[in-house]
Amino acid sequence: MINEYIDINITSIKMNSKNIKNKIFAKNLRINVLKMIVNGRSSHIASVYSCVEILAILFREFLKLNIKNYKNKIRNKLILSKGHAGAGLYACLSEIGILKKKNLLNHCKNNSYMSGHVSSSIPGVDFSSGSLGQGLGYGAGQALFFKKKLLHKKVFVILSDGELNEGSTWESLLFISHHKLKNLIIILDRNFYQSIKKTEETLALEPLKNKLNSFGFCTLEGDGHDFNFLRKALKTKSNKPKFIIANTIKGKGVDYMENNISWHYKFPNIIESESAITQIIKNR
Amino acid sequence: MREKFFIDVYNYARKNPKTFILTADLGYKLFDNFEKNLKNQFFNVGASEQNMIGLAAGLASMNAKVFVYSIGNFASLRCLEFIRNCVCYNNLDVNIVSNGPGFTYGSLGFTHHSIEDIVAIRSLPNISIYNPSNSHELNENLREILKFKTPKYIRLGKFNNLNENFKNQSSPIKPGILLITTGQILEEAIKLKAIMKNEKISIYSVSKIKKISSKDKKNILNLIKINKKIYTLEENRSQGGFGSIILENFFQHLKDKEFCIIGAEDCFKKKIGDQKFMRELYKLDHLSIAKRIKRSLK
Repeated sequence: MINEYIDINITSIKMNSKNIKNKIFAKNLRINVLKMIVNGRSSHIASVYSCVEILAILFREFLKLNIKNYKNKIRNKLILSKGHAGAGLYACLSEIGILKKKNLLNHCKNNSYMSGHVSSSIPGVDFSSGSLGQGLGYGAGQALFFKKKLLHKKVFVILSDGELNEGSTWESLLFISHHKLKNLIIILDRNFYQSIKKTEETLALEPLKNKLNSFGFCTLEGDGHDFNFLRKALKTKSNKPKFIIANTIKGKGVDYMENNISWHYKFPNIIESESAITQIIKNR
Repeated sequence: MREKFFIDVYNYARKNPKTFILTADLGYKLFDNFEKNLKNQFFNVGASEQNMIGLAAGLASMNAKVFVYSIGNFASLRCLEFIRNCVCYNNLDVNIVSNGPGFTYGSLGFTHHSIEDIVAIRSLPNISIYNPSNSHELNENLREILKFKTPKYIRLGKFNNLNENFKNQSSPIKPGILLITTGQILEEAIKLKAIMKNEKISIYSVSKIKKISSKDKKNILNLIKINKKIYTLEENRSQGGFGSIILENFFQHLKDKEFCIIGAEDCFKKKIGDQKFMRELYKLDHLSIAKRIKRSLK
């Protein structure tokens, strides 16, 4: 069944609602990510599923990345600082035609460039990550370049909870706030889990919104699976740099994966895969 | 050396607006001109070296040339993984300028003794290491640094007259001892030669040390062939640094020679003092080296 599922072609949908198209895009991502992770016997599926809606709305409405402009240096950038969600980004690139669908099956395979943690060897990927806390400084460097060269481009950085443990993330936050890099938009995939346990049991981050506000950010918090919230947050104008806390569910979309840390490491077996696909298609 | 270096960088940056200079809150008075006249190109990012390397890589990813500045270990060991992942992996034009190599800041304590940076940085692919000993070498290095768009690590020591008047011997003199050195510790080699007049000592200084230039390789090989005792000297750990680079490069030609790497031994000494004192403590000064050579001659 896993290989029989055919993606829904978004362009064939005639309904106008952006959200319906986003939802289908997200569905396709979840299915393709599942295929990649099962096929590559890799990991972090739950960490991808928590940020699928974030990726979907960025690719559909904000990033404006396409087959014509992906080789350009001067364009909007997406830094997936939580590199362990790389499968999600690869799947997005295949949805917009930069990557061929069949190439997704190289994920985590020998002799391929498609590493589990996202690699800029893949066309359309702006930064190789995998070591936590390194993407924000890199993105800030690009945002600084755009600002100083008066280029009206944006840099979107997707962070994980765990990255807020890294001192380097806070170094970068200080810099972004001091230099008012408003063209840099940070989206935290706040699924409340890190590598082994919940964030609040490991190294408490709360009250996070207060912390970020005190750092000089315009902090917006809401449901990271709700396209309306994400769109509104991404469009909000402010004199301060923007930090979006997108509250999400780790493993979102598949009941047995949701809030179950073991899916940070495991890949689904055949029965689990079929159950996952059924659930994703039905969109419970 | 750093003043001269940054005058050239300043002039280059004035002409090339896609040049950026970042400092991690160091370089008192050094960047006054930059701050005044290069407002959109110079940034003091605060004492945050990891972020500085990330920023530099992000800027360089847009085809900019970026210089970052800090003291020895802070510009290297502190942010080593950022240099690896953000700069070297992407092969970006980030130029890491590390002030005060070796025991330049000896009396400030072990945190400021930069004696493992060559070892750490040389393990990374794509990056070049420059360790000039005088203005002649610095000028030669600067030409490459401004021209090439690849990662670079630059160790900047202090000028001194002994080193300034030194010139490499490209053709071998009479057989004897060859001392291959790098960086400002060259002065100890020059002093050594002066006190050991009875020995035929040839000195060869190398400033581009990770990948040695073909010109230096040729010259060193000629010198190795004619000399019996080959020593390397560096203000850096003796294991894995410049001596190891020479050994790896000339292994086949050193088989019948007496070869010895002189560098800081594998320990932390708890006493502190100025550069001269620290070199003596780690037996890297010319008198200690002379004793060592005399022992081997017996």
